[in-house]
Order: sequence, then C-alpha cells, then structure tokens
Amino acid sequence: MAIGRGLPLRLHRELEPLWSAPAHRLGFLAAVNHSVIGLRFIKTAMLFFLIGGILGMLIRAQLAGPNTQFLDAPAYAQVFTMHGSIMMFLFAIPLIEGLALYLLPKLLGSRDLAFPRLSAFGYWCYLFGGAIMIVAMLAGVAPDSGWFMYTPLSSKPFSPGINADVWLIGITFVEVSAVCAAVEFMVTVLKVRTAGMALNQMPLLCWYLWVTSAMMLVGFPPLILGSILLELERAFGLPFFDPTRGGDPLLWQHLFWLFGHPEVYIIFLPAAGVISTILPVFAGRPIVGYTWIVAALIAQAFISFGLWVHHMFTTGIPHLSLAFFSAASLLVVVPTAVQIFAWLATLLKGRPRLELPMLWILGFFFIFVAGGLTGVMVAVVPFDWQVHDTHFVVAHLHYVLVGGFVFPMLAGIYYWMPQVTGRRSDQGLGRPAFWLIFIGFNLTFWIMHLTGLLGMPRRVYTYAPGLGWEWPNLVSSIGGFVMAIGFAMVLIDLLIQWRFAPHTAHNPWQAGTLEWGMATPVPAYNIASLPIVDSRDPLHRNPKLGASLAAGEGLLAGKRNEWRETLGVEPSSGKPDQVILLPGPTYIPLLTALAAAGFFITFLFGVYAGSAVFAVLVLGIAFIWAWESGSQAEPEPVDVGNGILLLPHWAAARPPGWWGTLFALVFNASLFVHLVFGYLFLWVIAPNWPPPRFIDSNWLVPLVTGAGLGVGAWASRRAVQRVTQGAPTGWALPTAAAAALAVFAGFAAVPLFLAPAATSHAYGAAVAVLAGYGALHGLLVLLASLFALLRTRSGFVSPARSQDVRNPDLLWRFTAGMGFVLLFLLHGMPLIGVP
Amino acid sequence: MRRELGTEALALVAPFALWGLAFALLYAGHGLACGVGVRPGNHDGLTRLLLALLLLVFLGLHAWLAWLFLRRWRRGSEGAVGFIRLAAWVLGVAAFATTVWTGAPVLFLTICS
Repeated sequence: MAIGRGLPLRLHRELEPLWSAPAHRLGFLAAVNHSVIGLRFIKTAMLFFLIGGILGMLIRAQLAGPNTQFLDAPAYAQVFTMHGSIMMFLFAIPLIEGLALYLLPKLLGSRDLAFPRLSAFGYWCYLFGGAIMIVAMLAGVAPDSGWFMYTPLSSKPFSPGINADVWLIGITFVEVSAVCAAVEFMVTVLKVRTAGMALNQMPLLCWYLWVTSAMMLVGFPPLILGSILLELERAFGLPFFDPTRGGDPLLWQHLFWLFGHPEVYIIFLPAAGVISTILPVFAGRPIVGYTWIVAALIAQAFISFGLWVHHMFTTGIPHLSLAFFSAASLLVVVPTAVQIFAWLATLLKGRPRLELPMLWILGFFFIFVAGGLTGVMVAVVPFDWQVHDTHFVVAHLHYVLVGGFVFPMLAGIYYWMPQVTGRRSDQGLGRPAFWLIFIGFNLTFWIMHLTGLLGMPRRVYTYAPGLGWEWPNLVSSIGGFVMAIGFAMVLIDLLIQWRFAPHTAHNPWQAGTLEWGMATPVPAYNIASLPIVDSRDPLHRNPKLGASLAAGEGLLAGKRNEWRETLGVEPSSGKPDQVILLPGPTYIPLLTALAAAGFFITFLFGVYAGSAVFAVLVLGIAFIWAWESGSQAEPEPVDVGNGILLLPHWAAARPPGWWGTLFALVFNASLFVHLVFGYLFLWVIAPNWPPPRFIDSNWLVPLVTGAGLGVGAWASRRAVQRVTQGAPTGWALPTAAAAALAVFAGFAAVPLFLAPAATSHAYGAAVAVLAGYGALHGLLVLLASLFALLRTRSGFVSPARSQDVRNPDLLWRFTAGMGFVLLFLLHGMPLIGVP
Repeated sequence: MRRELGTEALALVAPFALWGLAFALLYAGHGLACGVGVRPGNHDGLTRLLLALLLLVFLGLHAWLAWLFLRRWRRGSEGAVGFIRLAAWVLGVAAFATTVWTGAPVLFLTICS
C-alpha cells in the first residue's frame, strides 16, 4: 500500500503533544516520558563522572611523588572515598539506568516504560541523593572511610563527624532510585513489548537488562540493610558491629560484599549487552550463539552471588569456606568466556567494519580480558593474601570496571548518538580521543600492578622515598592526565555532534533493531503505530518498516480518548493480552521525592520528629499517586487494529501493577533473607554471646501475632474470591484490617515489653530490628487493606477490575509467610539457645 | 500453551537457584559446624560426611533436573518454547558441573582450620 505523505504528519501532530511534557515554564518538572527521563539520567551521570574524574586526578597529583603535601591525610581520605563512591553509585549504575530508560521501550517497540511516574520519581531521588553527597564534599564533610565504609572505622568512635552519615543516607537515597528502576525494567521487559516479540526474539540487550534488574532486586537489599543497621548504630547506639556488646564488624563486610560483588556484574552485564547489540551490526551478521549467550548470562548472574567472600580472604574465615568462594570465583570466568567467544565468532564469521563504536569495543576486549586474568590471580587465595589492600587490587578493579563498563558504554554512546540527535557521528575527535584514553589508561593502571607487587598499600596519602614506588607512581600520574585529556576530547566531540554535525539518515549503521525504525530525533511517542514482529532484526526483514509504522499501518495507530496507549503482551510468547494506558505528566513524582529528601536530610541532622513528619507526607502523596490509577467504569474492549480486541490493563488478569507488586516483594524478600542472615550470623559467629538475657517467654504475644497473620491472609484471600464471584466483600476487608492491627501490635510489643534494651547487646538490637520489620509490615498490610476497602466502596472494584484487592492480597501473603518465620526467630530461637 | 511457556520459563531459573541453595547450605553448614566447636580431630570426620551427603543429595537433584530438561528438549519444539528448552538444558548441565566444582573441596580440605 502506498503511504500518503500527509498521514505520518497528521499522526505526529496528534501524538506528539499527548506524549510530551506541558509546554509551560515549569512543565519540564512534570515530565514522565522515558526519553526525557533517560537523557536526564545520562547527562547527570556524566556530570558526576566529571566530578569523580577530577577527584581521580587529585589522587594522582598527590601520589605523583613521595612526601607530596598537595593534600593532607584527612582531605585525601575524603577525596578517594568520594572518587569511588561517585563512580560506583552516582555514575555507573545511573548511567545504566539512563541507557535502559531511554532505550528499552524503543528496542521493545513500545511507547514508554511500564511505570513512567516511577521513572521520574527515581530520577529525582538520584539527583537529590547525589546532591547530598556533593554538597557535603563542598562543605568539607564528605565521607572519608573508603567507598566500602568498613566498620569499625566508620563506626561512631572512629568517625565521630557527620561524614559517614552522609554516605549511609545519601547512598541509600540513591539506591531507592536503582530499586525503582529495577522493578520498572523487570516489568517492562516482561510485559510492555510489541506484538509477536517472543522471548527468543527480544534484542539481546533486553535480556541483559532484565537479568541485571533481577540482580539489582536481590543484590541491593544487603547494602540498604547494612546502611540502615550502621546508621542505627551511629544514631541510636544499637551495637550491630561493636564486638564488645555482641556485635561483629565482619557482619558489615558480609552485607557490603553480598551487594558489592554482584554489583561488579550489575555494572558489567548491561555493558556486555551493549556489545552484543552493536558488534553484530558492525560484523554485518547476526550474533553467533544467541541461546548460549542468554544461558551464559543467567549462569553468570547466579554465580556472581557466590563470590562475595573473595573480598574477605584475609579475615580469618576457615579454609574450606575460602575454597568454596575461590572455586566459584574461578568458575565465573566460564560464562564470561562463552560471551567473549560468541562475540569473536561473530566477528570471524562476519565482515567487520572498524567504525568508531567498534574501536571502543576492541579496546574493551584488550582491557577487560587483562582485568579478567588478574581477577583469576586474586581468586587464588595465597596470591590474594600477598596483594590484598595493595595497589595491585586497585589496578585490577580499574581494568575490570573501566574496561568492562566505560569502554562499551562509550561504544554505545557513539552508536546511539545519531538516534538521539538525528545527526551524523563525527569521526574527527573520536579516534584520537580513543587512543589517548587507551594509552593513558594502560599507562596509569598497567604499571600500578607493579606498584602493588612492590608492596604499596592502597589508601595511603603519601609515601617515603627509596621504596621503589616513585617512578611507577609518576608514570601512573602522567598516564592519568593523558587519560583525562582523552575524556575531555570525548566530551567536546559529543557536544560538537549534538549541536553542529550534519543530519544523517534514519539508520546510519544499517542496524536491524526497532529503535532505528523511528524518526530521529525521536518523537515523544516513539512510533505512531506498533509493529507485529516475527524476527530479532525486524528492520533487516523489512527495511521500510519504519515508514509504514509512521503512517499508522501497525497497531494502536493514532490517538484515542486522550489515552497514552501501548501494548501489553504475554511474557513468553509476546502475544498481545491488554492495552496499557499510561499516566501523563504530573508533579507527584517530584513532590514525593522532595518529601523523601526531607525525610533523609532531617534524619541526617538528627531532627527525628521532622523525619516522622516527612515520612507521613511521603505516605500521603503515595496514597494520592495510587488513587489516580484504575477506573470506576466497566471496561470496554479496545480495537488495537488487525481485528484484535483487548481490554485495558486495569481489567486484565495480570496488569503491570500486579507484576510490579510481585517484583517489589522479591526485593523485600531479599531484604528479609539478609536480615535473617545477619541475625543468625550474630547468633552463631559474633563474640560475647550469649547475651545477658533473652526475651521474656510469653505465649500470648506470639499467639495474637500468629492469629493476626493467619486470619489476615485468609480474609484478604476471601476478599479476592468474593470480588471475582461478583459478591460484596462484606466483612473480609475490615477483618483483614483488624488482623493487621493485631500483627502490628504483636510485633511492636516485643521490643517494648519483652526484649532487653536494644543498646545493651547486639541481641537486643537485632530483636528490635526484626520486630520492627514485622511491625512495619503490620502497618503496611493495614494501610493496604484500608485502601482496598476504600477503593471497593468507591466503585473501583468489580469482577473485571479486581487489582485493588489482588495487590494487597499479594502483600498479605508475603507478610504472613515472613511473619511466621519472624515469630520463630523471635520466640523460638531463645528456646534453642546459643551454640 | 500459556501455562506451558510459563513453566518452561521457570526452568531457566531452577538449575542455578538449586546451585545457589546448595552453595549457601554448604557454606552455612560448615560455618555452623565451626561455630559449635568442630576442629581437626574433633568431629571433623562426621562433619565432612554430613557435608558430603548434602552435596550428594543436591547432585542427585541436579542430575534429575538435567535429565528432565534433556527429555523435554529432545521432544523438540520451535520458537520460544524450543529456545527456552535448549537454554534450560544447557543451564541444567552447567549447574550440575558448577555444583561439583564448588562443592568438591568438601571431600579433601581440612574442616574448620
């Protein structure tokens, strides 16, 4: 069919205002569009990278020669702590989030992500959390205990100032953003794809981002938990890490590295996904071993959780346990190698073009593989004992992270820049910048292996002459500045391309994935109609697909009822099963993040009454947020085109909100498991146990709590059954609410009436936190049950619209399962005693 | 079809989740044993036996899972189902090998030293 010229333009004029932020002056603060939020993440991450880079140069200036007085010891401690913290938490993870936010819907052929308001909320949390860190640094009170904040150095007696609190609170605030993004990406990849895109037809980058998001959901809770526990110790004296009162500094190391090692792969895997996407394009053939790569990355994700103790080889853990982790650390090389050999095979079987993005990928191969080899070296326990806490480890981690993340990401930025700007990728400054960075990086860090082998420890602000460390440090510093010049050239190059490069064709690299079928610069709605795909490279199968979609020849063409529509699909087959109606621009994410910032800042300064007020404010705004979803009208099937009729998402069996609740509970379950681990670790391993006394034995409190858990879960389930049968929920939801009160009271009673003082011994502290966690869930299911009751009485619930009772039911089931485990830990463990 | 795909997709996660459980239990079991005072020459033989039995149980589960996935994959299928079945079988075999590799130190290293 011939495409009329006027139709794409008409559709564009219909859809663009609908999907854009309001045009007035403050409208940008209400933006929720994934392209806008994604680019904000990327630009902010770049800004933090600049700040982190400048700090890195300060480090190299200080270490260039012996006895340098450029920085004193306290300032140096703040500089290296902030360098590591910024690069890990404010640059690497947010850049991944930004890339995924921007690209995922485009790769999946959808118009936006599953929860646009959550994306916007995540951005504001990131910005405010990062700002707390930077403002503290400018005020001279930046964190100074190293980026992994080991106790007891970061405990109150040894870090009495506000510095460590800034890290714990600022980073936790930023992590809220990462968790929101993880839930968002999990649901989007599973549900918000275009028609026909089965699991085996997704672009590989989507697989990588999905697996990475799952890792974030499981891997971030131990860090968040550790930060909460350390802050509780610092603020209120709960002695989790104080061995004189039954705590153990090693608990912090476990919790930190339970996060910290998967974090390395959380950073690497999206970058590997970028390579798996770009490399076949420049090799001129599909990737070799798609299925094997997916299997390898799933294996890698799991194994990466079995490596954390290899950061603790020198802590006195029994040899057999060290062997478990040494074996796992060596084994993780295998799935990495599967991917590397698949990439090499793709290059060998194709006809590679050495465009600029490919140059960065070749740089990645060299640097990352070298970093992997030194990784094998430090996985061997006796070698690790020799180089632990030396510059050898600093060199190794930079090879892995810069090689495994920065190089592929620069490849990705150069690759997708034409998609973002609609302008040609300029080769002018890009190639010399690459070579400066490549040479500068190897000058800096290759020689640093030797510095470490010569015995120079990390985190020392200066050194005496005559130890043989002068010349390797000088070479490293020169290399560091060469690298910095290279990065400055990249920045200038990107700015030039952004503003001045000539316009380019829609698909300059002849790629096959859907984002290149969209107009460039990309419109707010991505595509005027959604394709039906049946291959991994739809644009290779039909090069004119973009034009036909722009003309409305796909699904969901044009505008209907001012709705922001996109398709929801069955997770495995990609068959459409609902129309997702997305929310428009709103200030609610910003307001929620501002209230959350108020909570964190008042807590930082010890104004706890203010924190309580802001916490209530967050809950209030969240209530408004949740109330705006759903519909009070019965659903009508929507014609999406091609004769397909679908219900709106709020009437579907498994809408995005249900999946979002499920994945939020996965995060919560991980938090709970790590909390239990901490409790058992203290119980079995920590010194100065048993405590002076356990909680008072009492049968009434566990009985009331257990009854509340059982009755509440049953009543909530009953409410769902009644709704689906078309019957009034009657007494079910009020019963659930009353049971929730019993759960809250039962858990709150433990630290208030039964347990020893939380500050007296780590046992009392752990009991207070476990019971507090249970009481918090009592409160949550109370609010969820009351919310469901209100929604039911306001006409939002019917047999076809049951999500408002199903989601609280999910929370109830989790709370019941978790609650019974808690009851055993709190009331049953003292009967067993301490081994 | 939909239920079948969902079950198949869970198969992608099952093998290495099982490995994770085995790994965690071996580590926790060894830690607990050292915590209650097992030392070389003091109940270390019994501890090794128990840990080895635990390893054996998990290897059996892994072997059963891998065999199950092999059967499903051989039954043949195309599209998403075929893709998931092949990946699940590969993961099943890999998880078995991983459990052997990471659990093997139980058989020959000193307990609680």
